[in-house]
Order: sequence, then C-alpha cells, then structure tokens
Amino acid sequence: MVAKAKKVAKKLIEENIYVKVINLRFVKPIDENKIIQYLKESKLCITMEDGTIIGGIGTSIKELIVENNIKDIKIKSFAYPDKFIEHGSIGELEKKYKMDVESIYKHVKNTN
Amino acid sequence: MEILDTVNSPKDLKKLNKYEKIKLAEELRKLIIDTVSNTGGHLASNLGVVELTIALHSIFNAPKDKIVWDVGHQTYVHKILTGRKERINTLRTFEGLAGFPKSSESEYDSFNTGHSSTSISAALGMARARDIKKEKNYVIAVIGDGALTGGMALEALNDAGNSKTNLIVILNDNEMSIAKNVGGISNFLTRVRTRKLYNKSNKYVKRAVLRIPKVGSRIIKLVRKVKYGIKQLIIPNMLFEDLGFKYLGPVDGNNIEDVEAILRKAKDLEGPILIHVLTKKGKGYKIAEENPDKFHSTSAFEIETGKAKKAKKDDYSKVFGKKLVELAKKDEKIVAITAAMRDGTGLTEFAKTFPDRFFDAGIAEQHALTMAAGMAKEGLKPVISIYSSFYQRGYDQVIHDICMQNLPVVMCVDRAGIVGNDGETHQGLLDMAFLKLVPNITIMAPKDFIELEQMLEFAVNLGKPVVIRYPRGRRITRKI
Ligand SMILES: Cc1ncc(C[n+]2csc(CCOP(=O)(O)OP(=O)(O)O)c2C)c(N)n1
Repeated sequence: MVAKAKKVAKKLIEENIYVKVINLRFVKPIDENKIIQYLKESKLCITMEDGTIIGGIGTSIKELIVENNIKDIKIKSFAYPDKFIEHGSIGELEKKYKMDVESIYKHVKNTN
Repeated sequence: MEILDTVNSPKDLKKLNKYEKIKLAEELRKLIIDTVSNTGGHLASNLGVVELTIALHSIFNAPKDKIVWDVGHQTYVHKILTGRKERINTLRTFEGLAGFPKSSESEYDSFNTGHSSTSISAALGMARARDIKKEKNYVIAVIGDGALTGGMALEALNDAGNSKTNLIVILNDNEMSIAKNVGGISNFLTRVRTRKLYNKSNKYVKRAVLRIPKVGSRIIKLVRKVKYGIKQLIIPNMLFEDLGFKYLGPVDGNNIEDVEAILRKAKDLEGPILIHVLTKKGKGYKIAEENPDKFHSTSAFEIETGKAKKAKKDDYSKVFGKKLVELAKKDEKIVAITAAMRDGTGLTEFAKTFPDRFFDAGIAEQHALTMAAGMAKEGLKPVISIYSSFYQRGYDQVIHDICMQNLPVVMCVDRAGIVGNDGETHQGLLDMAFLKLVPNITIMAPKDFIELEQMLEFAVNLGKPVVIRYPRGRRITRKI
C-alpha cells in the first residue's frame, strides 16, 4: 500500500498538488500525536488499506478527527467494501474495487 | 474427448459401461491437466479424485442427494461432470468458475467450502434437516485425511457417531495433507491401510487365545480382555466403529468399479457410515505423483517439465522464513509453528535447520495458537505463521489464550489483504478489523521486505502478543 500511495503522490506532485505519504507501520497502537499533527496541517486525508472498510485504519483516523475536533479536513478511505470479495487476479480486483493507483489518483484530483 | 462430449450431467454418466468410464477418467485427467497448466490451481488433489467423483455421481443422484466437499479444492472433476465443462477454462479467473464449490454457480454445489474440516458438520446438519422435513435423500461428506486432522471434523464425528442419523462420510485418504500428513490420526490411518498384514497374524493369535483352557471366571474375563485388546490392535478401524460409525473399506479409490460397489453397499445401510477410500494424489501425471506437495496448489506450468510458467521470485513468506532462521541461530528460545502450511508460510528452511524447534500442528489453527500460548507461558518465544483467512478459525485462541494472558507470541498473518484467484473464502481482508479490537495486541504491517525483517526482530523481543501482517507474493521487491 505504501508503494501505491507513493505512486499516487508522485502523479499529484507533478500537478503541483502537495502530498505527504505516511507509512503506518503500526496499525495498533497508531501514532496518534504524529497523525493529529499531520491532520491539522492538511486539507484532505486519504487512507489506503488492504482490508475491509469496516474497522480498519480509515476508521481509526476518522475517530481521531472527530475526537480531536479537527476542522477543515476532508477524509476519504480506500479499502474493500463491506461484502465478500470474489475471485480474480489481484490486478482485476483492485481495479473493480477502485483500489488501483489510477482510481485513487482520480479521486484526489477531483476532490481538489 | 469422445466420452466426455456425451456427458452433460450426472444422468449421462449412468448410461456408461465400465470401460467407457475408464476412458472418461482418462479424458478428465487430460482436461484437468490442460486447464490447470493455464489457470493454476489444486492439480494433485483433483487428479486423485477422478474415479471417486465418477463413482459418486454414478451411484448417487445429485443434486437431490447432497455431496459436501471438504475444503472444496478437489471439485474440478465434479464441476466438469455437473454441466460446467464448457466453462472449465475460466477456472479461478475473474468472472469465471470459482476454484471452490459455490451454490450460486450450480445447484450441484450443495454447500460452499474453502476452509478445511467443515464438511461433516454441514452434512450432519443437512441430514438432520432432511429428517425433520421427512424427506428422503442421501447426504455425503467427502473429507481428506488432512482435513480430518482439523478439530471441527472430530467434533462432528463425535456428534454424528452418536446420532443414528443416516449420513455417509467418505474419507479420501491419500496420506497427504499439503505436505505429508501429520499426527496420531494419520498414523492410525497408516495402520488401517496395512491391516492386511495384521490379518494374517490375527488368525494365529486367535487360535492361540482359543487354546487357553477356560478355567475360572477370572481367566475368562482376562481372556476377553486380551481378545478385545488384540482385536483393537489387529483391526484398528475400531476407532470409527467405537465412535458409532459403520466402517467400510479400505477400498482402492482409483478403481471405479470397486468404489461403486462399496457406495452401493453403503446405500443399504442405516446410521452414520464411514467409507475409507485410498487414492493417489497427482494420479496420472507423473510429475505431480512424484511431487504431490508442489502440485497440491500450483501456478500455471509447462506440462512437459512441470516448471512454473513464470519464474518465482522472493516473496514476504520467504523473507520471513529466512530472517527467522537467522534470529533463531542467535536465540535458542525461538520456536516456529505452522498449521499444515510449512512451505506456504516460508518455514521449510527453518524446519530443516531446527527440526526440534519446528512444529506442524496439522490443519488445526486453534490448537496451534493455544499450543503457542503454552510455549510462551513456559518461557519460549513461539513464532506462528497462519494465513489471514485461517486466523478466523483461531480467533478465540488469540483472544482468550494469547492476549488475555498477555503472552509473548509472535503471530504472523501471511496472505493478508486481497489474495486473488482463490476468491472469497481465502481473501485476507478481515484480520485488521478483528484483531485490532483485541486488548494487549500490537499490530504491524511492513511496507517492504526490509521492514518485515526489522519488525520480526522487534517482535521476538517485545515480550507481549504481536501481529505482523503481510500480503501474498511479491508486491514490492526493493526497499521503498
Ligand atoms: C482452516 C484451513 N486451514 C488450512 C487450509 C489450507 N489447505 C487447503 S487444502 C489443505 C490440505 C488438505 O489435505 P486433505 O484434506 O488430505 O486433502 P487432499 O488435498 O490431500 O486431497 C490445506 C492445509 C484450509 N483450506 N483451511
């Protein structure tokens, strides 16, 4: 996921959109202080995880935003939807569920 | 595909004579080898059950009769014979046929499987439902000797054996799990297989026992005891009989006529029945017969050589295995545990280097995790690697045995995230959500191989429950 995030970031930076990539080594405990600091400095937060949308790191970050009353930030989580995911190659499934670099890049561009 | 062309459903099978069925088996093998060499998949397991599947669909009337396939990785033949031969070339591909049974795909797939050792429970439930609904049909569970090492299968045997419910369990014994099968049950099955040898001595011992003069009740009792003891020793199928099953077999599972005969016999019996079928994993494709573990599940390969079409590179599992060997050389408290996935989790080298510190628990994630807890409690540093989707099986063991006691077990979650062609039963998408909420747990996710190595070193010295999750295969090679 970090590799993917970096690819998205590179494409955005080329278009003068400033992006910082955070490698969340620890899913638990998450590095709250650091993340809160970044959230306060940003307009948009994208979370990306190779897991289900419910109860993942996207959820953790959203909780941080609300509990710490961080204003002026949008958040979008990229994860697999709340359903059982069928078979297919990893590439095909990533595309279908918009977990590929292109889909994420497009989303960020359109949000900005 | 002369004969196969005439078979569009199991009904057509019933019209074939025994020579045609033998020819059909040959055609099915060719089709499966051709297909899997392109799509990848569970080659050896399917080659082993060609005759068994033909016999099952000849003798029983699916879909009225329900066949539940344990794991379900051995259902390619079943799929071809139940109206899906035209689509078999799409096996395991996006929007194609699934590699496991799916009720949504065909009414012949009576119950969805993917994780091991569920078939007897499901079949018993379906048989009890049949009885309550006062319907008449057969329910058959087909389970491998590997899957039989899973706790759930034994729980189900325990319940079914005591139930008087009409149920047929077919034990497909090929002596292999993915690697050589392990454990006491596996040893027991080996004894059953070699029963013929014992039978000779049986006669001799019986004669000897009968020659003991019958004086005094104590001696008679003793003789009875001895006889019973001898019977157990000589006819080891008594495990199943003692559990309440009628035991039939063992029978050569690669001989259609023999299997059909024993299935017919089973149809006339009441209560829970276990048929012991002996098959050869990889049968008919020499390279798979000789390397059944490599061809249990394979990526696309060249038929002539058996070599993978795409060369394998390093992956997270291998990097994990290598690093663990390195750490274990410096720290003799480190032990490694797998639940029947030595190769898949990258522990082959560890098993070779430290045979006394490596444990294959069988397809028994629950047991493996609690055993790790026991080891940790006594001061060892157990490192256990299980695929993400199979942690679902061991969830309470993670909570109740490892985390609640805050025990230093390193839990590697391999195949975390999307896994691809194995599909919904094997996707590793839930682990973060269900592990995150467990108190005392630390969860890490490396972004590349180097981070995995660093995390593993950190984890074995952390002194409390810790998870490292990483994906299948090789998403990133270099440091990023
Ligand atoms: C709970 C669980 N753990 C591990 C696996 C991975 N797995 C798939 S098949 C298999 C071995 C099955 O051996 P056996 O039942 O003897 O079937 P065979 O392929 O030999 O016919 C294993 C360990 C699984 N499917 N489910």
